[in-house]
Amino acid sequence: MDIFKIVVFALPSCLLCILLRQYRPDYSFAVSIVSGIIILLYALPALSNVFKSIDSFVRKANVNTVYIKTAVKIMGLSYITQFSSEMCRDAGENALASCIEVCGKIIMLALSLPIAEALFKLTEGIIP
Amino acid sequence: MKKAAVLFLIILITTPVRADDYNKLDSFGITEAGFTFSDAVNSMTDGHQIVKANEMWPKIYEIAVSEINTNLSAVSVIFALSFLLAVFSTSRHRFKGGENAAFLSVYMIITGIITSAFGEISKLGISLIQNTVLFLNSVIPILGTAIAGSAGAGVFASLSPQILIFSSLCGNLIKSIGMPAVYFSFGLSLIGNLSPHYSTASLAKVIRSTALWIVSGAVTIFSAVVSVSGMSCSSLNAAALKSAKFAVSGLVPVLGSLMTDSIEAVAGGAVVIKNIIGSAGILFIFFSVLFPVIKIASVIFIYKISSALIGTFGDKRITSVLDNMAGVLSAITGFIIACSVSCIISLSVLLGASNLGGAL
Repeated sequence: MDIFKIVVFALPSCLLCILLRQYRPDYSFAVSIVSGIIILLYALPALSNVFKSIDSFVRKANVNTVYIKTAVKIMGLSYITQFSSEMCRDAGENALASCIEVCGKIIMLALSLPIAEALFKLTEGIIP
Repeated sequence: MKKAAVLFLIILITTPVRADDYNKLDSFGITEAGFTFSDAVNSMTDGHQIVKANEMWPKIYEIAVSEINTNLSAVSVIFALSFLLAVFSTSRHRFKGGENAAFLSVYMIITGIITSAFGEISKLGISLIQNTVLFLNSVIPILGTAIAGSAGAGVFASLSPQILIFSSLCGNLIKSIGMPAVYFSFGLSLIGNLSPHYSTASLAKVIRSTALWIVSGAVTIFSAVVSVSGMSCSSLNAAALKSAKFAVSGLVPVLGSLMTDSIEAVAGGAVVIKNIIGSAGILFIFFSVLFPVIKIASVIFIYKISSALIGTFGDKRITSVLDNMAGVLSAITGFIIACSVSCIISLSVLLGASNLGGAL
């Protein structure tokens, strides 16, 4: 099971971070970032299976897959933004963290605009 | 009295009750039960059963299942997205903007799916209502020739303007008040769920139900007026025929009584033609409305079920949108049924009032 792999990897890296924090806090921070990224990468194969099944539904329903991909991208973006901004907060860089959040919001807005545009066009089309 | 009798005789002789007049009504197409208007008239003339109940049930089942299957894929996308959103929302987010953006993007996609389904059904509803009213307006002149031939010219002259005016009024009321209210209510329900703080769902419901009340009130008044006029007209019919018979037998010296018998025969034949055209019209309206209504009902069923199921795990706003969609579709079904029922009532009142009754 994948979760055991993740736990087996996450607990020692957590211990390593705690140990390193006393002697070299900068190394501890780097270890925590790298282990966080590796743990997230573990989830990717499982996530791709979920997306494949959603994709098959979407094709049947004649919904443009681009919009579903955008929604999923926004969810992923939200996770990544949260992860990185919290990392920055842990390191004591609050200003940088809020910058990342603002940036994440702007990118989400840019991503979701085509969906809103498509919705407006659709609404325009149904009005007799 | 003499004048009336002469007038009736002139009408009887000059009215061309042409059997192929009704072929013009075939432009209204084939109902999903598989017959045109002229098919219905022909089979009634021959005494065949045009619609068999044991063939209808499998057809109804097939249409309902195919419509459910078509909409199931759209609803399964809504399911998958709301499930994804529910999983996403369970993890605690300190980054609130991300959660809102994810909800809004998913909500917009779901709204898009629902809006396209709503657009298709509302177009179907509008075209059905327009076609039914147009069909009634086209069948009434053809019915009129047959009614005039069966000594019902007075009935037709007094009833048909009322029916035409009221049926057009009904159609226009639905088109100019009912459908815009449904569109407005649909739009309000979509916008109202964007924010958790401001809800316009109840306002949408009020607008929808007000439109339904107005249309159903108009249909009730229409049915009442047409039925009362129909009741008062049927005696007019019998009087016209009796006066014609009396005038012919009194005025024509030798052949009078013979001609009276032939008048009865012609009037009796015209009654049969009139009844066949009228019943075929009622059958045509019923079956051209039945299958679309079953289609819309199965879509309503799908949205109600999915709203109930998503309510167990998903966001309340998505559930409320699906619920409102089902409500809006029910209103459209209500309009279609109201319009077709008023057309069927008017046709049957016209048929009933112009029957010869005790005159023969």
